[in-house]
Amino acid sequence: MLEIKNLHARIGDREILKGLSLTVKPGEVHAIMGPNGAGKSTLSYILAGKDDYEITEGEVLLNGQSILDLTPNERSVAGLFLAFQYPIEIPGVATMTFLKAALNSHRKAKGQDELTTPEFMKLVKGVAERLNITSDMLKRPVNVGFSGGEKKRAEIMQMALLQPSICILDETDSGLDIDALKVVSEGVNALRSPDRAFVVITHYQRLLDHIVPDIVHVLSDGRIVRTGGPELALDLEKNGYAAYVADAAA
Amino acid sequence: MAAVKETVDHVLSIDVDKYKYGFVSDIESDVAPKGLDESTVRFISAKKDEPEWLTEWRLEALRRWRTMDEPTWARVDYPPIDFQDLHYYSAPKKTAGPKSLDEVDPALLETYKKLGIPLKEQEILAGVEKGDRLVAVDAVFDSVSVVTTFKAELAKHGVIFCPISEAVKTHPELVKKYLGSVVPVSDNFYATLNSAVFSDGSFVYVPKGVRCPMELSTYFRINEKNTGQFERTLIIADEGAYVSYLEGCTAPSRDENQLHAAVVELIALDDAEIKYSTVQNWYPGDSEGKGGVFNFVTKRGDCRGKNSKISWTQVETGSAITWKYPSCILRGDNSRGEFYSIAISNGRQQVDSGTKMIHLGKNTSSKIISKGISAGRSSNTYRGLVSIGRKASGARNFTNCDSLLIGNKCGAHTVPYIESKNASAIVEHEATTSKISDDQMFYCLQRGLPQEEAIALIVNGFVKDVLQQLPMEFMVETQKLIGISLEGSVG
Amino acid sequence: MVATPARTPAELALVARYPAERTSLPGTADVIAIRDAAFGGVEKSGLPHRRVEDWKYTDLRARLKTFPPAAGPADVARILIAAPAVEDDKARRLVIANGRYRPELSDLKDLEPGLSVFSLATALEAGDTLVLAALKLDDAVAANTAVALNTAFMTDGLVIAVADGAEIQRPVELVHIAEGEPAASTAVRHLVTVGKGARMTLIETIESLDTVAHHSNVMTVLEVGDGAKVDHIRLQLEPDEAVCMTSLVAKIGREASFDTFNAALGAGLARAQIFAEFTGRDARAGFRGVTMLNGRRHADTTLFLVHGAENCQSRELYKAVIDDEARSAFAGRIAVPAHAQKTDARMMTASLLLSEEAEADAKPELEIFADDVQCGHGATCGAIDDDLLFYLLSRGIPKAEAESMLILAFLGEAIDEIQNQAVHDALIHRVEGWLKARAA
Repeated sequence: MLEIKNLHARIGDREILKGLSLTVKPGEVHAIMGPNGAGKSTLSYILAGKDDYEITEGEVLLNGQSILDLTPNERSVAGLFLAFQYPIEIPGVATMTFLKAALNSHRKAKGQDELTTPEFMKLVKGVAERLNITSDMLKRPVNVGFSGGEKKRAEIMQMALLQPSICILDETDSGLDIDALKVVSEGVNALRSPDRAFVVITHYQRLLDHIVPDIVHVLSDGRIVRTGGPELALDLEKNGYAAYVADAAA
Repeated sequence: MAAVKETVDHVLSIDVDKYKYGFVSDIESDVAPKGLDESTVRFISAKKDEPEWLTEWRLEALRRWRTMDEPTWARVDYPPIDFQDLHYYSAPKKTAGPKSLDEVDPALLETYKKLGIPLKEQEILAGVEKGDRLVAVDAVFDSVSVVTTFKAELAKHGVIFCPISEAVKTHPELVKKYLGSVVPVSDNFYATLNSAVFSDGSFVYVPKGVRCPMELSTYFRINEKNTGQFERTLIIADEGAYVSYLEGCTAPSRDENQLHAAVVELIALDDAEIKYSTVQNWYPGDSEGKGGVFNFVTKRGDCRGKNSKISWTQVETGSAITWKYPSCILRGDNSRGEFYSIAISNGRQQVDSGTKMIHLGKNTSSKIISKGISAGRSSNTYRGLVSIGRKASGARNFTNCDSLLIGNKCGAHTVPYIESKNASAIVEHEATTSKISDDQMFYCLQRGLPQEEAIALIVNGFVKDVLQQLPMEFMVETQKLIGISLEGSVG
Repeated sequence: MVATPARTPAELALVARYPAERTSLPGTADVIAIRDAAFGGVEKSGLPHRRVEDWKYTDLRARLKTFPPAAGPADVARILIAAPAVEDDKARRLVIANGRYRPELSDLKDLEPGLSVFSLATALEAGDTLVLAALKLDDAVAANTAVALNTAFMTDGLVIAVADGAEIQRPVELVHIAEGEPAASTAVRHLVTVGKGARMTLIETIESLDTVAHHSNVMTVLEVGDGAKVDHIRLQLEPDEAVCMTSLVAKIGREASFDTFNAALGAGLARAQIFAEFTGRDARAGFRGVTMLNGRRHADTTLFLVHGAENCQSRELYKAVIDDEARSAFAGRIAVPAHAQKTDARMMTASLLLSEEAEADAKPELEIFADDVQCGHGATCGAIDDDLLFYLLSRGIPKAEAESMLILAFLGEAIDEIQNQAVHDALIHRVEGWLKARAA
């Protein structure tokens, strides 16, 4: 489903990804863990197509097709969804307007008709309810005046609406208390399916208690330095990243 | 044509007044020769069968105009206009328009399609001549029936709503009392020119205590055609009256007249309120800016009475050059003035627009919200004045003008003048200039919106405070229009 | 169409003075040519009036009643006993009296390495090519009336150079003193070059020992080298009768840091002009000032800033307090050309009107051609906030004192940005004196 081959990327003179490879199959949940500055957020931005980075080498395939030449919106409609670590506030743009525009863009790409307003409302309401998103929140401008937890829930709601095939969750647990973490995780788990995969990027193990990964990777200094099962995350929690960082440096 | 010229020359050589009536019946064609002098003014006045006082009023304007220079202070650049090389009067329809939609600029048609304008209306807007101008005539006939219904309803409430040329005859006392009382004859170069040669326009009078039962708009959207390049509008809201007036149309309209110099005067007496909304989308010219409309407009409202209120809302997306400062004179104590503006420039368009809030009365308040968006190679200037007079105790102004740049070949400029002569007045002004945030753009793209749609979405958010001031049906159309106006602004 | 209006008395005085003085002013034939060109422009256009946009709020034609004769030599004894405007033992005082640099009154001992100071008049007489080159100004600046008059009539000034990398520990204070009666006029030009990575604090004070209608025109051309750090502060302390025009021309180099502060406390007619330009990327600058006006005085601050390079940051903050029938004007224009991406500029101006007859005008302008910028401006105008005043009164503070506290707080936002403690204190002291006199 998602294949990253020997990806090298830099920002300015600084090389951040130094030959990262990763293969994610349908239905799998991968966790990418790593210390601060390992390149975790860079990876998520590069996959989504933010143009601050220069790809110097390597390839990224989504369902067998290279996406590096696609614009961010093309990647989105191709099925890639990024849940932002810091969802962006867009004052003046109503959440519903935004959601409708995004959803219709996806439907158009799939050759489907635009939803009528009642259909759309019904769809959003259903998804919103499951994530404890109040109608008041939907009336506000995109992410404006949302608490940290509300923003993350809104991200998951968008994920549920757009039905992506691969979801990148960038530090989705940051800034969440335990209750919010549960709601968000349940939202994500509800979306798990045999034909959808997840890449969960996180610094801490605690998110992985709720979204249990199939495979855990350790990212350090721009490379995957260790891959294992869920037990790897527990080991990291206990012993820290030091050993892996040293491995990478060696 | 030659005959016309001869006749005019002939008339020139003798006392025109004596020949006024004969003159009219003599003329087959409805075009005044090029150039502007007393005979042109008399010709126009005679054509309209105007009373002597109005002819004199026009002639006085012409005399003043001759001593004036074209203003050069605005940040607009255009080739010199030869004012003697223009026709100052032409009855509707003289030159041949396109014979069918096939002859119309495909870009224009594409825009109509996007706005969802019915085919028939497209033809009217594009000025298509079918056979013997059937399309336009049909439209007029259609509208006549609508107008009749409207008129009955308005008459029931005592509201007068008619062409100003008609009002001159049916309500001379009102016209005489108010015409030129807000924009004096010699106010500025273009207004003075308008005073000398104005073609036609609307007249509205809402009597004491009457709340005008409808938006004065639908009628006008068709009627507006052919009011000519020197439009003159006069709206009076008598004590306690309310009226909302809407001019323009979201559809881009071609116009054979390149120069437009309209004058709009609003008068609000005690406790009256006038809301005036404009959507201007005249032809901006081709990609090089050629052939677009020059729009030099003087719009001013006079809050003459206490507790009166005048509110201007404008959406400016068209014209090659826009030179426009809808203003409020806040004369009555406790009167209020508002200006909400969206000005979008793309291609080679040049916009120099803003407002003047002149606080004269006590406890007067004004609010200015201006949103400028420049894209392409355009230039977009906000120019505004907030003036607090010595006697305007307790006056209050709040101004917010934000500019957005799309691309680095355009310019966005902010030129506010703030003049306060009263210590108890509070004036607050804030302005920002920025581009669409990369983060917002990326976020929208990530959710699958194409770039242009993302821009339109963000820009619509940017202008939301102003959009909300528009009547409902216009708000929706305007949102679409914003997206269309910005097409081709990136990439 | 517009007929040339009749010459005003001030214009007549100017036109009479220049031909009589041009050859006796310091300088070689090259200098005279520069002076002639400058004066020719003024002679042709006359004094600017309100229809000239850059002088809209300061109609020089109407306000400048006379143009007094050139000042004669100053009485050194009176200057010696005069109290300094800024009590600062550390500052190196360089005295310009009646338009002439007076080394004998100046502190020239132990000049720091890398600091050189000499007289402009001497350089003009010698035809110093570097100095001649430094007289060349951008066209728009050269054509400005106050600048052109300075060019035409400048008698002296200081040519100061700070070598690359030099850190000048002692602030350099240029003390302008007008002495004697009857009223006379002076024109002084300073050329200051601060080398790469160098640092200096430059203070200017402008004052007069006599309460007559002196007319002073002080212009400083400052070059801030790449990576240099310059702090410039001017205290304008002229008597109410005086006319004072100052111009600062600043070019700010790459990665440089520049601050300028203008305190307009005196003169019946004051105009402070700043023409600044970022010439190298990644630089920052602060432009600030306070104006205090009473009586029928008029003060104008006009700032033209060209954000001419990428990724530069500027902050502008100007505050005015206006009492009686005085009038304050602020015009600030920030221009951002298309190549100056990542520009970050914030301009703020605020006026506090203290009387019914006071007047404030502001024109904060943005002219922007680059898209990736964050620019903004704000302007406010109003009286002392009633709620704040009431709060102070309710705590038992008398009204006059409460007002003084609030006025000081209002000005303090700008004054507290002054890094030099001695100047900061001297200014606060003046402001407090002004407030005390007002409350009395």
